[in-house]
Amino acid sequence: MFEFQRLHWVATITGVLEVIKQNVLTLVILFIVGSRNESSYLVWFVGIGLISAFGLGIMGWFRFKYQLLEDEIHIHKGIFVQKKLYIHKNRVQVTEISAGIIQRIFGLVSLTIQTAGGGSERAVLSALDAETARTIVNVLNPKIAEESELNFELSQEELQKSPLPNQSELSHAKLTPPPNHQPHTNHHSEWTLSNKRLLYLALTSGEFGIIATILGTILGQLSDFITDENIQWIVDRIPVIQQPGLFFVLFSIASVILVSYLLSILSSIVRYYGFTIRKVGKELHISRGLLERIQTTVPYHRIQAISSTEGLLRQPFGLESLSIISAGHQQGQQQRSLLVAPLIYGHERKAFFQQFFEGWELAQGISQQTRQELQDSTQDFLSYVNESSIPPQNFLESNDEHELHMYAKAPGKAFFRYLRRPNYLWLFPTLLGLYWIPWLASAALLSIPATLYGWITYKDTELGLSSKHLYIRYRVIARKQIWIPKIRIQSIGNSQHTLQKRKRLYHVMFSVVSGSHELSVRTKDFSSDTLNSIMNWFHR
Amino acid sequence: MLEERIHPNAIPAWRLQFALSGLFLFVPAAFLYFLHTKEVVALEWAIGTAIIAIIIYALIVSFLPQLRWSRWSYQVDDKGIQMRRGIIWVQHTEVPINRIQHVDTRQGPIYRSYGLSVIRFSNAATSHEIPALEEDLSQELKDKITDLVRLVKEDV
Repeated sequence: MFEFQRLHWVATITGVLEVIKQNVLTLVILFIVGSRNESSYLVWFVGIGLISAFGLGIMGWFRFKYQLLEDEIHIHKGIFVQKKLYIHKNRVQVTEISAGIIQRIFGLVSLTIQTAGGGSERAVLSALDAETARTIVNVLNPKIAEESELNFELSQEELQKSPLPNQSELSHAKLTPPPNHQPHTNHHSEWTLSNKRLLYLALTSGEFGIIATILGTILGQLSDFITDENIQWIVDRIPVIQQPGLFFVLFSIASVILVSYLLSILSSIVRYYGFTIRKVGKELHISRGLLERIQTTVPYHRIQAISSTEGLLRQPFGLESLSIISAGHQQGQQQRSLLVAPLIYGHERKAFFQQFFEGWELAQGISQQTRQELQDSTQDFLSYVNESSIPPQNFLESNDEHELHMYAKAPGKAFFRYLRRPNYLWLFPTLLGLYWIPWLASAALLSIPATLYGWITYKDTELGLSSKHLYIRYRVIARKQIWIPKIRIQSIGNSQHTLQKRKRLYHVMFSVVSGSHELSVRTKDFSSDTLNSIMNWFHR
Repeated sequence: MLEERIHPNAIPAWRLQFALSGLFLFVPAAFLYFLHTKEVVALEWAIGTAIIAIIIYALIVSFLPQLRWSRWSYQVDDKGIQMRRGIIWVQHTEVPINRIQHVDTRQGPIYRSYGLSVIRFSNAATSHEIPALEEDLSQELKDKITDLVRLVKEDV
């Protein structure tokens, strides 16, 4: 355990594949360019590329050594330049054990250790046996073993006190535990994504837009396939069609959308199959994946913020996804946040928070009733829910509202600014282009959806403060909610444009760590009174 | 406006900086034009654009540094660092003192000749800068911030 070791030899295979994956774009470009001219040097290029990929993979494995010490791990790697990476347990943000197809064939796992900061602070041990991986994780996260006993009793009590109302529904799809499952885990709290929800998730994931773009580009390259004969062949088989040209365009658009939708469903299912989240002592364990089983460990004290996203297709059903924002690197993944509940009903959120994020305030957001009462009771949409300013019998009956110290919306005088803002997007390009292309004037029709969008944005933007947490709801395309603990706010800022000055309105910005960068949340056009109360809250 | 202002030497320093960085735009453009003389655009057009560009350049170099300086202010106390800047978009940023991870100062050749330096402090997410402080003052401020950080440090 305390000497330098190499990874399992299977790491050479994953190494080779990794090199190929990194250069896949170059390969595709070469392929496209090469398919245009007839010369054969393309074959040579690809051949040399593959051979060097093999060489690099094997060398990479040979040069990669790791050593596990009492509370840190040393890694030596690098083919030409030797890099020495020392990671101390105090600096570990997120650990992830995953088992891809190759690892599964040999009964191995891959371990990723993420630390904060910009650069290469991410160590991947790509082929380990499950036991070694567990040992390393336990060394780097010693808290599980120490405190699991104590927390177990506590949470048993909690569970009896407040059973989750729809627990039976939530956990009816029990899945087989992952192969690399450690024996001493006490399952305190657990939430599983049922298969029914997985299906909803896949059907409503907004990814097909991205896939459609990629597919469309590829389709553009298939000009050899799209010939008159082929079109005629299709047209002959569907006799209703009168105009082959128009039909073909519609047909290809429809098929691209359909195929990319199916692909997006498939990819969601592959990624989120068997999603389970567990609370183990002071950590969250998340496991998911069909082909590649991924187990992620996040210590609670590394969580920077929690956010909820209601996609356009999900909002009508009251569905949303919850993710946490941490300082760990997620470079390989699409998003920098880590999903903790891929699909959950808005009304279940509170129970979910109680189960996994105890102590986070304003979990339910701000109820319609509170919103209404607060708006009616004061001008300028700004209210304090302090004992001093407002009589308690009004809305302090339910327990949640105790948490709310302040609630703010963009004031009425900001309304038209919200309506106007999205319109600039089409207005300026149109005015510029109008000189050359007169019919661009019809772009004025865009003012209807743009204004509507502005109106919805105005309605959705709100902010709540509790003693320890900041809660913001806003909309980009999907509606988002974010909970940031006061101590995690890295900086707070406001900006004022000359035009805003007249109305005494400010944009307010909060920044929080996400990956190696910052996530900046901006609420637009808040009144100066609101800004003052936010700053007071922040300094308290 | 906040309590402190940056050093007035910032105005000539920025003026020099703007003047020099403008050359990076003009020289390649002029070079390209003489390389392809009269192939691309007519002479009148070229002279017209050049005159407009030079006027804008002169205006920026003569007035912007002054304006920018007059809008820059900052304040450092035990709560945090506040900065206020901007001409059309007035921006106000506040970084709590206990979020600061490290502080450094920086000095380029232009700033050195005017006895100025930039102080930059980073939190876990990003970094912020106060430009053009007097050298001694920036060292002093650096020490002050480091001391304040030490006093209130909690692990974030």
